[in-house]
Amino acid sequence: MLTLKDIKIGDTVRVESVGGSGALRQHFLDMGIIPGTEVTLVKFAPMGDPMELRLHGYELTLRLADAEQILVSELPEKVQGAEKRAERKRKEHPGLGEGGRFHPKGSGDPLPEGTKMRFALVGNQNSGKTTLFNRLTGAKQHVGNFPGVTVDRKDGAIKGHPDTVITDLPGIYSMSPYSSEEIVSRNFVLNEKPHALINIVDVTNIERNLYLTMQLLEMNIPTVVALNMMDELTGSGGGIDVNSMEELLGVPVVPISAAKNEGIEELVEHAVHVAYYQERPLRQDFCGKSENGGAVHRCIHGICHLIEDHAESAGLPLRFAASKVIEGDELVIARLSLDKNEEEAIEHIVSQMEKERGLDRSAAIADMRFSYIQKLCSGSVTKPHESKEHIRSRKIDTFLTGKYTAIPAFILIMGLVFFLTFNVIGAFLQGLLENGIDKLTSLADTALTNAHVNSTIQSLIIDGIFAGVGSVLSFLPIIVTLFFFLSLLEDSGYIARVAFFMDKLLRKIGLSGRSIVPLLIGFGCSVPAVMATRTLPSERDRRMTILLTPFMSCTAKLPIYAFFVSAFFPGKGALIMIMLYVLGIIAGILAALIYKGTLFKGEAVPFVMELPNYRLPGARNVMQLLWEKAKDFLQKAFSVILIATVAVWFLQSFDMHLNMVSDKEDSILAMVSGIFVPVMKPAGLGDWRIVVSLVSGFMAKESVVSTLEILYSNGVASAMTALSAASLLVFSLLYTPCVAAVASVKRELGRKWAFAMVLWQCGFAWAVALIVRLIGLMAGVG
Amino acid sequence: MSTLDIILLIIIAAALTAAIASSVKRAKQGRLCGGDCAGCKGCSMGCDKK
Repeated sequence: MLTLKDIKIGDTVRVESVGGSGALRQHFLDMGIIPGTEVTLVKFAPMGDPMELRLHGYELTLRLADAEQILVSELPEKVQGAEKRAERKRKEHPGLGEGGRFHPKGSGDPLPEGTKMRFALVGNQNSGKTTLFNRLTGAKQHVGNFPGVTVDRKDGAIKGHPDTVITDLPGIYSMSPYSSEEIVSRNFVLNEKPHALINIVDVTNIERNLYLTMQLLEMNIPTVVALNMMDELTGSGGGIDVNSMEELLGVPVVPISAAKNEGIEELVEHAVHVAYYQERPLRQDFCGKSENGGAVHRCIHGICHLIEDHAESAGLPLRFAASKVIEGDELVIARLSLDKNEEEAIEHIVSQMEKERGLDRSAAIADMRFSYIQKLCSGSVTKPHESKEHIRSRKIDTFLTGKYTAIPAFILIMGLVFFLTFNVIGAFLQGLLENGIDKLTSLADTALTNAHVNSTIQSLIIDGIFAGVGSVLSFLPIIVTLFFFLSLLEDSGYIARVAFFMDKLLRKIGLSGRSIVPLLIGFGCSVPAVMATRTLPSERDRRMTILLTPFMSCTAKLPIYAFFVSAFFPGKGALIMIMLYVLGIIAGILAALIYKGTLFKGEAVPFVMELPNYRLPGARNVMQLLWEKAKDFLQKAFSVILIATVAVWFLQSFDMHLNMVSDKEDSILAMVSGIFVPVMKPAGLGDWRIVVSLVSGFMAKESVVSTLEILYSNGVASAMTALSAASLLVFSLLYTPCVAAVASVKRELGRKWAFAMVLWQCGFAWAVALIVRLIGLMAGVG
Repeated sequence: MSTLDIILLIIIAAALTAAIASSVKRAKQGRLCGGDCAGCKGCSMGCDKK
């Protein structure tokens, strides 16, 4: 039989069976790859792997190795592309989630007066969730993260309803525990028990979006479905009979356009209504009694009866628990604490269902959900012609993900982003801020001198706080500008494409395509690079990527390279710079291979990813993101970095008897640095002044040069050899990133990892510097 | 030491104390636990709710 890997571009096939096991297989099913689904191969990535597929009206990427596990059969010619359009009668509005004559009697169970209503916003990735959240809450948001994981969490009150709090849950495709986002969302709904859910559904991709809706309804929590991007759907000739859909889903359905701020008020009214009156979904039963012989129906209901008491005592919604037990979800099974007899009885029931249905348990449940969705859509959705957004995306993709154009276009775009950030916009803003900081510093210095302030206090304020915090603060424009461009690329849908065509290359070193972005940012600055790893879905990939970012030579190291090139290798600047960048990349690859074989064994996460249509990001969202990044950076500059600068100032200004030193050689810093001199000697760096400059580089890489200039008053060229300079260049390239970057790593991975990374980078740099020195000595370079 | 010196020292000490307090607060949040947070550190974002 054919596998999905064997089909040709443009072929449409029917899925016969889905191989594999565990969470990955469940993820395939949740993404709509179930027996009976028609799948079209759109294209292969430029390097031949992964592939882009079209199913249920959206694009999905899949690696060839994963595609090989999916058996397919060819479709007869005439079936391909055929679509039925059913005639429908207009239904009366069911009026769910509203007052008035349609209000279901006796279903209300109002919350006590004064209760703060808690909502959760749930939806697929790329469904416009962030835009809706910003619309609902305005600027008043509280950013944090969910306990136990570094998944961002945002809370805010709904505008005009101060007695509410809405939590933006991560974008997910199902309630299966596949990714940390899905676990977080599931646990939030199960444990925090929000008063109501707002489920955002992208109507341009409605079938897959409703798959999550089905599972949310099983949670038996008051829910409102927000049909987002209705403007796009109707603009392409499509439409939705909202009344029919509301009746079939049993919850209020509100058409909206989050981007155009349409329908939001109505959505809020319904959400507040269902939350206040605790109006739960009228329908949770999506299995037809006579559908496919009713095997799935009997199985689910049988298990519902069997586990009813356990679900109640575990605080789990019954229908949800039954579906998950059938799917073999270990987390739910453990929580139910079933008796052995009950477990065996369930196994018998499920096995019988598999036999009668002709599908395995997970596929049967997924099929049941998608069958209901198809019934729902055929009764209420008018499919559009190909939307103009999709036509536009296809056209753009012929160039941006084309076989011969993808990588050159990527290099061009990233080059442009870096050029604009580091040479034009960011650099200009940085210059302005630096000027401002310099002026403020000299102003403060003059004022303190005129006021005859104690020289030690003056030194602490000017040389410590102003110099330290000021130098780090001057990076703010670079970071904000870089994030501006990156958020444009991310929100427009381009980054998903980059991950798509870089996946094959990165998989060789144990990463997935998505890691390319943080690594590229690392060439600019490690701080935003580490922050950008949050978009990675797997903890393993995220940690590994964070640990690799210091190998990408950041721009702050450029002054060091320029300084030594002009002193020791005049006329060979470009060559040396290129060699250093290449060495950084080679060292990174080597480190990745070491990590892959030791700390992070196993494979990168499967590359099952949606390729959304290209969209122009909303200015409001971008500004909100920039504000968050800037605030985050400023908070850090005035906390961790302030403390560190004061500490370093203290160490370089006082001796062991706490007397202020006039010669830095007598300072505590020089004495402490002296301890490292014997260690650094084999690598050709056994001079306390070099050690001090490298230690000061920990604060900010730029200060390596300024410290060397101060300490080598007669010029560095007379005191060092070319070989020592080469060793120092290599050491500077690879040793620990600056304190701001380490603080970012600490924030993302914790203290232990940050400390281990500092030691590892120093050790790695030392070893490579030693190798450079030995090669130089063997070659007779002194 | 003049009065101004003492005032400046107090301001610096206050700023440092605030910076340390802020760092400690951030360190207590779940995101700093590196995935090891078990809801025991009084994180303001959720752990302490349980």
